[in-house]
Formats: sequence, structure tokens, C-alpha cells
Amino acid sequence: MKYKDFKEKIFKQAKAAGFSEAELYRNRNSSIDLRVFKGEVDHYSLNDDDGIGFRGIYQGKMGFSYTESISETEIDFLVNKAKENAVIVDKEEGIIFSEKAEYKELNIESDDFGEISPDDKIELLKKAEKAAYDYDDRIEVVNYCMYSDMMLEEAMDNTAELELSNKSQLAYMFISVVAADKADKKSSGKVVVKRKFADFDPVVLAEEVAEEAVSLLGASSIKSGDYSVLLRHDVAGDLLQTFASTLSAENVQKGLSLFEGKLDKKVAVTDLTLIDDPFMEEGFRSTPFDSEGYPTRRKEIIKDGILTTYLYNLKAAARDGVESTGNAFRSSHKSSVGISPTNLYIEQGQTSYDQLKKMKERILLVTDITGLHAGANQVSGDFSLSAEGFLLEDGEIIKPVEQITISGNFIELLKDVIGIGDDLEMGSPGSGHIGSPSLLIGSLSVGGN
Amino acid sequence: MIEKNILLEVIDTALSEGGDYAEVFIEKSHLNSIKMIGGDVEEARSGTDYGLGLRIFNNFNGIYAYTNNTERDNLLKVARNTARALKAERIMSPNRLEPAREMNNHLIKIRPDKVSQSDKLDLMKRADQVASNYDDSIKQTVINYFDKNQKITFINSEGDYVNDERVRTRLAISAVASINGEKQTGFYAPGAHMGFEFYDTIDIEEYAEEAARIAATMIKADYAPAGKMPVVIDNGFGGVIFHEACGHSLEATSVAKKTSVFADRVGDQIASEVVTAIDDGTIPNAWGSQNFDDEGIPMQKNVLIKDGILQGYLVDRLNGRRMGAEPTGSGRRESYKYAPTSRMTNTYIAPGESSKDDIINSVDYGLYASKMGGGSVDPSTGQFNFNVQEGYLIRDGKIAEPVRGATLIGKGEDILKKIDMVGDNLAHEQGMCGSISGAVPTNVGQPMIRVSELTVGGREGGQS
Repeated sequence: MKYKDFKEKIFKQAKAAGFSEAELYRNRNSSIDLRVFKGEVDHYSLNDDDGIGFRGIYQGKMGFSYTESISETEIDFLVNKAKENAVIVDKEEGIIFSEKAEYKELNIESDDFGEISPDDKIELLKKAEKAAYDYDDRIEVVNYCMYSDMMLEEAMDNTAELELSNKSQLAYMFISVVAADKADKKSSGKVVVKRKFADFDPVVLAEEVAEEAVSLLGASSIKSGDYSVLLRHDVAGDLLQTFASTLSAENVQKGLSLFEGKLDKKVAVTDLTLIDDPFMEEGFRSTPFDSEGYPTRRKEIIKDGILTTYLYNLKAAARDGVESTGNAFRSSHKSSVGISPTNLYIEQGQTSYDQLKKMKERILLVTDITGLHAGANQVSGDFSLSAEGFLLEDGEIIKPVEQITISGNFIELLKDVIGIGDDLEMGSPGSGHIGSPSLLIGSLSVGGN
Repeated sequence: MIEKNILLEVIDTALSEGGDYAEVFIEKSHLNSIKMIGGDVEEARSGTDYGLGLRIFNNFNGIYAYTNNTERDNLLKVARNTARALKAERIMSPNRLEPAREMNNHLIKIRPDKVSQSDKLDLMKRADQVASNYDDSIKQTVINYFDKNQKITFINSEGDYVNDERVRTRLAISAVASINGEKQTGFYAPGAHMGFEFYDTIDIEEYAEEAARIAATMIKADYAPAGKMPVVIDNGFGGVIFHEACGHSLEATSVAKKTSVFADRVGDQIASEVVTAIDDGTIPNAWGSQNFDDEGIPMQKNVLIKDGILQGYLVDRLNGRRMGAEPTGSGRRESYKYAPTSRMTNTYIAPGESSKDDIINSVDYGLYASKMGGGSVDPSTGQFNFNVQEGYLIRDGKIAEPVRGATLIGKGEDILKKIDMVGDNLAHEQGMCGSISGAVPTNVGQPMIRVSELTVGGREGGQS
């Protein structure tokens, strides 16, 4: 069945079933995933996704359903289930965006990755894998060497005659290695995301990852206590990513955010500015409209250490009596419309990474943290995370460090930032594309020996 | 769902340019979920997942493709494009299909998709009432209901033909306690491979009360001390420690590549003698059970470690070829969007002989992890970390004051050898396990165990 016919038919049937307004969201992706292991293609996957999400307002309440089988027989299912779901929702807060709006034009260019031969992509992986093995004899195994590219197409249509569509392409590369000597094993990995195939440098990436794994060999724990801690840019970015959902007004309204009651209050050091920028060229969540079709805009969420706004979609904005910030987000046709940052980052400072290392006599440099999904509490802001890195004295590495935890509270950490690096780097896009410069923290509790 | 002859045509086309094995996996799933926050239904969702996954093996290599468009022309196009990646000549044709196999080892009485959303809501309200009224410190509740009915058909070039149906339901209860701006969460999420009658077999109010009790206890607790100490981990979700720290390293996914610390070690003493560990996908109606795995092989009970000695691994078809080992009914995937690989099902440490009191009384000073939270592990190094949802200090053989914010870190190899007491109170709990073939339902389980020494991460460190 043609999508246009499907759309007309379901909107008609929705009206007949008593929906006042309705919306269809479609996302189609085609992608390739490749993995190389010891010079052989270990995984090769061609993916073709297509799905539709239906939302409709019934007696003022939002009903939701989705399908991946785009056929006439599913129309009944979508409309009936959405109605059944709307009925049990408690509040009449359903909103479908129906205003005419101006949208910023973004001219972000990318390759058409589908036109690049899979052989070239495999070659890229083989080069990276070889470079990692060649870097040092102690590289025991390159356990993941992966490439993936995708074309994403989104379309949104509603009964208020909104018609929006967006197409984008991007490619990922990920490599992780294990270094081993007689006494120890250490792993390290990194993901990079690009819009142009030629921008991948497999050798530089492989060597960076290999160097880190090798340099961590022989790591040991350190004495428990309070340390000045330098969070390398990627680690600071991971931590920010973990707590990004607490900026959502919905979480604040529900009492599920550590930022509740903190609006217009000091939540960070004066030097710290946190920006959500949907128009950023290096950002992979750049978009002129959000998942409700609302125009997006740039904002300084934390300015001079003060929390200036939460992130809103239409429903959360109506609850607080404010305008949406254009941060409605759905990850696919299956997901409901939530709230997410677009491209979110801490503005970089002027201090170089090397200078940061020398700002205190003794510094714990953290280059990896794990346990973010379990060891960090969005509600309290408390975190306790397993960490790896190096102990520094006067800026010099004394020894690699493992088997430690760093613990603290996210807001207390933001108020204890004593150095901001000039090395902002965006991470890998997920729910929002998030990045940070390296951050020097005055004191964190470290659990070790 | 799709005509058998078309599927055979797809398999034949998939083998047209080399390849010695091909399979298709078709899925149609109905899902329902309801989210309630603070007693109000925020959102209810229903949906259909539908698609076909195709896989071709050529010796040790696997190629995968999937699509939602299952019209014959598109399927044949996908099969041709996928086959082309092999760049070789046909070496074989598919076998004749055996008669379809079905099993019914997990009785389903009330199909959740036949239960109205408002009946599910009643269940949620019961849980919400108990949790929110537990005491004054409970300021928020989040209740999530979920059910899924996954119907699959599996056909391969060896003639295997399997139809299976997996019905699962789960209710997740979070209670948030708050005092003076500080917050703590308590969480329980019982689920099963069972129909809606599951909720008649459990006392949902009891789970809700436990979630609230944990939050209310932890909000009044001080921070855990940091450092090395004996740790007692209680039954149920404590099994997450074995799942993460050891189970993942026994999956063929990392064993075949020899990236696992346990590769080539069958017959070795890898754990202390009191440890026997099992992965059993056949437990009737358990959350991680199925009739067949996602490669058309009946699920089975696999003893992984017996009396501390490594017995074997969890093996899928492709890694089985690479290792020269038979598949163990462990091939799993979240959906047709993922190529299957070896995964856990219901994994647990078997019960031992110590009583709960014996174990607690044996510790002079240490941590009692009454309820574990989540965790993760790097399978290549075995380094793990877990957070403790509800913890207490043990002083002079007695459970003393509650402590919050503790994490447990270490290496899988080490902890297995340091488990020196195993209790007699085995219990299982439900989780979703994420790995390269997506998120699959798994049970974790264990009786109470004592670990002689483990690094505890907390906030109250000594001075350095």
C-alpha cells in the first residue's frame, strides 16, 4: 500500500473513531554494519528499517500506537489501540502542534554512503586493525573493529496539515583493543562519527586506542581518600550524558530530577556555561524542528553558573505555562515523544589539557569510567563509578591506576570545577549529542585500597 | 506469516553465490505498555514489531540482513544483495523441509493481549497505593507495566522448521524517598514467561512495599565506607554479579575469539569449590525461558561450573563452528533486527549448605549487600562494577546500620575464587541483558554468598 493512501485512510478512520486530531510519524533507515576480526569480515549486516507511529487526541487525551507492518490491515489495530490507550490516560493534556512556524534552514552536507562500496569500508577496518596490532607487541587482540553508516529519513504529517521531512546520513567507526603483558590486561576503545567518509583516519584512531591500552598496563589501585580529579574530555562528556535527562522539565515536574527547585539558582561555578545548540555544524542532532514539529532554538541552559531553563516539549511547557524549547524527541516510531537535548555541551575554557594537569601538585587523571547506567542516580545526583586513569604529580604520570571508584554528587561536582579545558570534543550521538572539554574537579572521594 | 514456499525460495536465493548454510527468522510481536507516575497514567502504548532476518554462513563467516517489507519481490532482492557479499559460486542447495516443530513447555493461561488495558491499570494502582502510602518519606512512585507476545518462525537450509511463541509480562515498581532535597530509589520488577495469571502467583503489594521500604531505609542511611572488606551478597538479584562478572565471559561470542579470560580453560578450577553455576533456559515459565532459542534449537540446561571446575560454554551456531563445539540452545536476539549470538537465559549459582545466619555471623566487619542494583563488565579483562541498592555494614557478626552509595568493583576471575560461603536460599530475579544481539530477558539468581574480600567504592574514604 502506498504511504500517501495509508495516511489518508488512517486520518479518515481516526476522525470517524472520534479523534479530534491525529499525527503520523514515519522513520525509514537503511544501514550497513561491518566488523573485521583478525583480517576477516566477522560481521556483515544490511539493514532496512521502516516503521510508523500513530498519535491521536481522543477526548483531550493522547493515544499512541505503532507498527512495522505497513499494510491496510494494520489501520484498524493502530486506531483501535490508540483509542484504548487514550482512554486510560489520566489527564487531558494531548497536544498536536498545529501552528504555522518558521524553520531555520540548515545546510549540512554529508556523503551518500550508500554509493561507497562496502569493500572500501572493509578496507578501512582492515587498515585500522592492522595499525593497532602494529603499534605495539603487547596489543593482544583487537576485539572490536566496527564500521556502520546509515541513511535516516523522517517524515511527520498531521491533520492540521503539517508536513515535515528530514534526511540525514552519518557513519560511525569503533575500535577497541586489549593490551596484555605477563602480569596484566587492559582494554581501551573509542568511537568516532563522521559525515564524510574521507574524514576517517583509521591509523590515527587505532594508534590512539592502542597507546591508551598499553599505557594502562601495570595499573594498580591507590589509597582511598579525597583527590583532585581531572576528568578527560570524553569522561566529562560521559558523565554529562548520564545526567542530561535531569534537564528535562518532565523529570523535574515529576520529582525525578536533581535540578528540581534549582531554576535561577547557582548550580555550577561561574565559569561554566552549558549550551544546547540545534544548529551546530559538528553536531549530529542538528535539526530545524523537533519531534513534535516545533521549531528548535539555541539556548544557554547554565549561564555563568546559573540554571536558566529546563528543556521542554509541548506537554511539559503547557504544565509550566511556558513555551516549548523545541526539545521534543522520539528515538523511533516505537517510542513516545519525550524530551532530549539536541547538541549539548559545556563551553570550552582557555586552559590547555597539559596546563590542567599541572594545576595541582597531585591529580588523579581519569580516562575511563564505567557503571554509568547503574552507579549514577539521576534523582539524587549521587554517583559512584568504577574508574581508570593515571596518578599525576606536578603534571607528570607517576603510575597508571585501576580498581578504584570515584564518588560524589553531580551538582556538588559542577560547583567544584576549578579548571575548564580548551579541548571540547563531541561524543557519540545517542539521545542528544553530548560533549565536554576536560574538567578539573577540586575534590572527589576515591575508593581504592 | 509468510508462505513456506516463499521462504524456501529466499533461502535458495541466499545460497546462490556461495554459502554453506542459510536461515530465515520471521517475527510478529504485539507489545503493550503503560506508564504511571505519581498515580497518574502518563502514557499507554501498543504496537506491532514485524520483520524478517536472513543469515548466510560461509564457513566461519556470517552475513546478516533484515527488512520489514516481506513482499516476495523485496525478499528475493534482499537475498540476492546479501548473497552477493560472498562473491563466490553456488556450492549447495537447501535440504527438504522437515515438518514444523512446536513445543509447549510453558503454559500460558491468560494471554496479556486479550486483557484490557484498564485491567492492567488496576494491577498498577494496587502497587502504587502500597508504595506511595508506605511512609512520609516516599514522595514519588513510577510504575511501568509491560507485556509482549512474540511469534516467530525459523527455517534453515538444513530442513529445520520451527514455530514458537513467547509470552512475557512484567511490572516494574520504583519508589522514590526524599528528605531535605536528597533522594533515594527502591526498585522491584517481577516478570515471567507467563500470561496475566502471573500476577495471581505473586503478591504484587509485597513487592511494592519492599521497593518503598528500600527507598525509605536508604534515604536515612549514611554513605558507605570505601576500601577492601568482606562482602556478603544476598540472594536473588545478587546473582547479577555472576551474570556480569563471569556469565558474559562464558558466552561463545567472546570465547570463540579467545578474548575471554575463560577461553581454553574447560576442566580448570576457575572458582572456589563451593561454586556451581548453571544456565537453564528450560525452567517452566521463567522470565529467561523459551521453548526454542532464536536459532531453532530447543533450550537446555547447561552446567557451566561444577564444584569450581569449568564445564563448558554457552554456544550459538556460528561460534560453535568457529570453536568446533555443538550449539547449546543459547542463540538469542532481541528481535529480527539482530543476528543471534550466544546469550544467557536463567543463570544462577546453585544452592550450598550455609545458613544465612552462619554467613552473617562469620564476618567481623564488612558490607552486607541486601539488594544489588545493576552493573557492567568488560569481558576482555573481566573488570566489573555493580551498585548496591540496599546495603548495611556488618559489625561483630551482626547486621548494623544501613549505608548508601556503595559500589562493588573487581575482576571476574578473582571474585569467583573468593566466594568462600554459599547459602541455601536460592532465588531468581528478572532483568534485561544488553549485548551485541540486543536486549534479551534474563533471570539472574543465587543464594546468599560471602566474598572474602572485595573493593567497595563509597564516599567515606580514609585520609590518604
